[in-house]
Amino acid sequence: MKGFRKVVSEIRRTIIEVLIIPSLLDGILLFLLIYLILSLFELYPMFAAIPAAVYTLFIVWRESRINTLKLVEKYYPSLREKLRTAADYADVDDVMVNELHSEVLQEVRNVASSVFISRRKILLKVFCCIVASFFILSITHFHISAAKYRDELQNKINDLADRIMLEGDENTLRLSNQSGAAGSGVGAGANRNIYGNKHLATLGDQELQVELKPSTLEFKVGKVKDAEKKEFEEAFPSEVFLSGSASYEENIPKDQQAIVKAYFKKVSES
Amino acid sequence: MKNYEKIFMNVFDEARKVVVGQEEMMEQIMITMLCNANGLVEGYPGLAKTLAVKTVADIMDLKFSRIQHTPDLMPSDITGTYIIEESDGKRNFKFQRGPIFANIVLADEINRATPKTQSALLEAMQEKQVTVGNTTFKLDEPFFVLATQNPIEQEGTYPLPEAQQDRFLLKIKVGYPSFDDEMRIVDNYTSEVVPPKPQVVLDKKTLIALQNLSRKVPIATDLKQKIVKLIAVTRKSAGIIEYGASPRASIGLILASKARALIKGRTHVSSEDIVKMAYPVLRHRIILNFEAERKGISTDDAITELLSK
Repeated sequence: MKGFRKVVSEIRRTIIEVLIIPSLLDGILLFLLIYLILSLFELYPMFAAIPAAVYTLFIVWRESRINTLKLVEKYYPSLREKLRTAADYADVDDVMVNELHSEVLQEVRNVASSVFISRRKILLKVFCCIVASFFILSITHFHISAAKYRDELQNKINDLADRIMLEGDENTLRLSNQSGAAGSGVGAGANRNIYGNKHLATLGDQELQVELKPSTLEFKVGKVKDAEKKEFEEAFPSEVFLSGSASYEENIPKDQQAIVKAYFKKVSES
Repeated sequence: MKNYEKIFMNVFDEARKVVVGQEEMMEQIMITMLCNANGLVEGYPGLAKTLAVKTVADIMDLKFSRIQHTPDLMPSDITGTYIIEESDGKRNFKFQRGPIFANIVLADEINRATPKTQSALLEAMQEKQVTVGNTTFKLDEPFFVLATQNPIEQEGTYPLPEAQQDRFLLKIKVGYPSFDDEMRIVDNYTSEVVPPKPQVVLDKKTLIALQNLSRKVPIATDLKQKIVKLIAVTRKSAGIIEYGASPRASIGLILASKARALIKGRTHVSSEDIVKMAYPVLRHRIILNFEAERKGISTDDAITELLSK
């Protein structure tokens, strides 16, 4: 019965279409949330499209693998086991099978696609999307930023990375000492960035803080600050002391000083 | 209403005139017949086992014979034997057909016969033929052996060998009737009114047509897989089962489920059919180990556990 095969594929297609709608909404919501976070930390927000696309593709793939007939049977108990049996025997032309097909066709007419969608969930997701969009607009408009936390976080990450590298270097040094080889002299700080933060620039003798906001693509020139003067504290170690040289204390008689002076003058001239 | 649904309704209505209660037993006997197989009805004496089989034979226009098994019953008493016949002054050997040559054979109290006599039924049950001497006789279609037996623990019985038990599609357990049913039984058989005789509502041709129809009942692939997995699990459950069921059990369970679906007026097999038929199909095909017996686990308990997996 070719007609029944068509019915089965139509049911499958309709159910998958219906199931994909909430999945797409999930993907959009995920995109907006990641966009919001990236904007807040002043990172490139379009990167949000990558996890959202991956998530949406995964969900669509998962939904397409769902046994749609079993799903229909779940919502319509009168079709339980009947629909999938009829689908398994779609190509069989037999008295019993034909009777089964006609029974199923009769009952399938009552199947409504709206049953498979939870309106409440859809509305909730749409509402969340609206709220997320509103927050994104607000962040952009009011220039709300959590970049300072980003810097702190980045510094912490750098410190952690340095610590890990330092431990690694110490281990390497220890190993090389154990093997009798001399240390290379390249310390933990060798890999450190000695040029400072990249977003700092100098104009004349003044230091400028230039901030680039990825969400708005606007330049924000920060406050021009005078270079801070720092006073160095003298903190000599206790064991360091000054003492006069013995040569300065040599007592040359005054009448001989002229002779010595003349000697050194001659030496310098020659 | 589907035609076959009406037929089964009539059959059961007629059976109810004679056999009070025992609906499940009647249904399972009918399933056995639809599968063109043999059934073993087990229960204590006086539970209408013989009456049920006799009633089924009466309802259907089929040749019925009853073999009362006793320890001195010989195989030739079942299959038949050659006798000397004199005609026109000549003496010839003529085959005298035994009671096995019928459509429904009631092998009453089968476990009272010796193993030799029990095995005489084997060929008939499996091959639907009887070999006496060098001659093989085909049995009439349809052919069923419906055997009854008392629980094997009773004295003077010979437990059926596993190979012979496996040839029975279903092992039908007969329980005691409910209080209301027993009241009706008492009323029916103690009053002056003679219980009505059942009418013939199913002929041989229709029965064969229903047997063919039963095999055509479609079953979903996942349900078929469920059955095969269930049977496979019986072979792997080392905890309580010593020996599991053979592929014959898988075939039997599918056929029995199809027949039940037909009786219930459905055009497909459902999970309910499989669960219901798993007990009579498997209870004589799995052998529990000592541990299970020690714990007092019955085969039905073991099947329940297998079904829950």
